[in-house]
Amino acid sequence: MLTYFLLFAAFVLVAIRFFKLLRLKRRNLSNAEIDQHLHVLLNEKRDRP
Amino acid sequence: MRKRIGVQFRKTRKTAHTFERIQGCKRCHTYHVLWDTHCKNCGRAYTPIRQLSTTVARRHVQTRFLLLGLFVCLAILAADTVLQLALAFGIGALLFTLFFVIQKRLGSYEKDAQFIRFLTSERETIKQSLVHHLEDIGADVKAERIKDAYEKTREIGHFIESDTIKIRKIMFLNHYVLRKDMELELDTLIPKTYDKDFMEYLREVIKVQPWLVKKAVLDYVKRYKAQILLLENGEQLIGQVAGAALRMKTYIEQYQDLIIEFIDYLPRERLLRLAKMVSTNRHEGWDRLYEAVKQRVDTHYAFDPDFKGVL
Repeated sequence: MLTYFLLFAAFVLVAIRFFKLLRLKRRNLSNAEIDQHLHVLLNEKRDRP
Repeated sequence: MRKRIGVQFRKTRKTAHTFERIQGCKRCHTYHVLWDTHCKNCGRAYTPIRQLSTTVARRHVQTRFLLLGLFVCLAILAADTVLQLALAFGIGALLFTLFFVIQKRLGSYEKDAQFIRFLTSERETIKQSLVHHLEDIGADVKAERIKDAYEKTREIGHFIESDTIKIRKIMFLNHYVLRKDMELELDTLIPKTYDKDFMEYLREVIKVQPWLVKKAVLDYVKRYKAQILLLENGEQLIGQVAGAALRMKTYIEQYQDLIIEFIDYLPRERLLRLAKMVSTNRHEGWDRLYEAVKQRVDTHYAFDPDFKGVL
């Protein structure tokens, strides 16, 4: 029984990985977007308490 | 006016994206955006930030792979019957194959997403490194190494969008004689508010690289016209800017009022170009401009052979 459970866990792991990568493929970040993100990160002003 | 000196600036690295300029030291966990290839503290060669992120992404995949291997191995060990053992081996092999195929086909998308996460997590360290570079620049200024200070500020300017950086760059550049062969910038140096040093820089840039005058510069000059007119030879400066705007038909259409207002300060060669352009585009809403050019030509260049028959 434990064998089936562990195999199922392994299957779930692969399935999660597949859907996660598929989601990232749909997002398909370009280098320009990454650059934009970097600029926002380095230039945003944090509200200091 | 201060005396300018001649200088040869170091060429800046050409990169398609800003993040390609960041390099990291794996040992010191610091970042570097200047031209050095080895860490000053430990002497280790810098690694491009993208490569650092890829290493983290690879480790993430390896962890998932090990977890999958652990589950399959435990499933094999926990098998009570031959059927269970065969199933564990068969399904395990199938899952490993699937994992590899998925990773091969879609793995590259994860690298980009991981890079975004990596940048976010390293934000403070990158900022600290930039601050460290700024401290170096402060030391350079104190030691009167203005060239080094400018070159470093120029590199940092790729990352930080602030008036302080822009004004510093302008002040450093105003120490030097600007030449045609220099990698000068103008659009990226426009401050949010009026700045006298920027106007001094603009005056010099127009002389050597008038093609750098674009919409943003024209808008700036138009917005701060009143302040510029208070400067010594302010009218001439706006005239030069208006002259530089004559490179493109769209600029002439958009900044007609500015050109008409400062037509008396247009250099002769620019006025000639404008006269040629207005004569061919007269019926495209350029009537006012045509009249202004005609009046100027009639009063000042009536006997100039170059202007003969243009209008």
